[in-house]
Amino acid sequence: MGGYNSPLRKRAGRALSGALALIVVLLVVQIWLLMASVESWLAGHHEVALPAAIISGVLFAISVGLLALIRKTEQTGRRPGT
Amino acid sequence: MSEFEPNETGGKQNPPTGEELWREEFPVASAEQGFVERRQFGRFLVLTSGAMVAGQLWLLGKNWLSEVETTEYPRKAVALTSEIPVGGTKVFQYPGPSDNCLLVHVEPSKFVAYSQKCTHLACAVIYAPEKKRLECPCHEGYFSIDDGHVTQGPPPRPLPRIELEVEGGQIFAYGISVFGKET
Repeated sequence: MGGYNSPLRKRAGRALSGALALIVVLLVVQIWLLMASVESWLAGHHEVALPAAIISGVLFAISVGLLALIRKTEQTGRRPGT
Repeated sequence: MSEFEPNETGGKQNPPTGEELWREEFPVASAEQGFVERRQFGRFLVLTSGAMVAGQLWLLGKNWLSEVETTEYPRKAVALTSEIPVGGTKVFQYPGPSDNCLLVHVEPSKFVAYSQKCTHLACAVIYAPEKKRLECPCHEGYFSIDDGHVTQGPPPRPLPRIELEVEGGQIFAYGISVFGKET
C-alpha cells in the first residue's frame, strides 16, 4: 500500500506538472501566432498564412506527444507496487 | 456482524492498522484524483491547441479562396467635383450601403477617398485640413492623406483606399486597394 507517497509516484507527479507547463507554454505561443497571423492577413500579407499554419501544426503535434507522455507516466505511477 | 468477531473458519481477523482504518473511512485517493485532474486539464489544453490549428487552417483556406475568387467592385458615382470645396469632405457608401467612406478634396485637382472605419477599433476617421491627415478621434490614430498609412497611434494597418476617377465633373469609385494591392 506504500504507493501513494512512493518516490516513483512523486517523480511521476512532477513529470506530469512539467509536461503540463510545457503544453501551456506551447498553447500561449499558438494563441500569439494565430493573433499575429490574422493581423498580418488583414493587413494584406497573405503569404504568412502557410508558414503560420505549419508552425501551429508542429506545436499541436508536440502537445499531443506530451499528452501521450502524460498518459504513459500516469500508468507508470499507477502500476501496483510503485 | 462486527469485523473483529470470529469469522466462518473460527479464526479472528487482525485489527486494521492506522492507515488501513482511515482509508476505509475515507476511500478517496487524492493522488489518483490528482492524476485524473491533470490528465483532463492536459486534454483540454491539447483540444484548445487543436482549435488554434483549426483557426490557422481557416485562415489558409480563406487565403486560398481569395486567390481563386476575384472580387469585382462596382463603378459608382459618389460626388460631383463642384460640390466639395478644397479642404472639404463628403461621406459616401462604397461598395455596400453600410461601408462608409470619406472623400477628401485635398488640392484643387486632387481627390482621395478612404474607408472611414479606423483599423484600430472601427471609429469614424475625420479629415484635419490644416495638418493634411486623417485622424481618429477615439485614440488619436493618424493616417497619411497621401496613401492612408499609419503615421501615429494604435491603428495596426493603413486605411483601405478607394480607387477614384473623375469623368465629366463627376467622381466615380471603382475599387478598393490595401497596401497598394487591388483586392
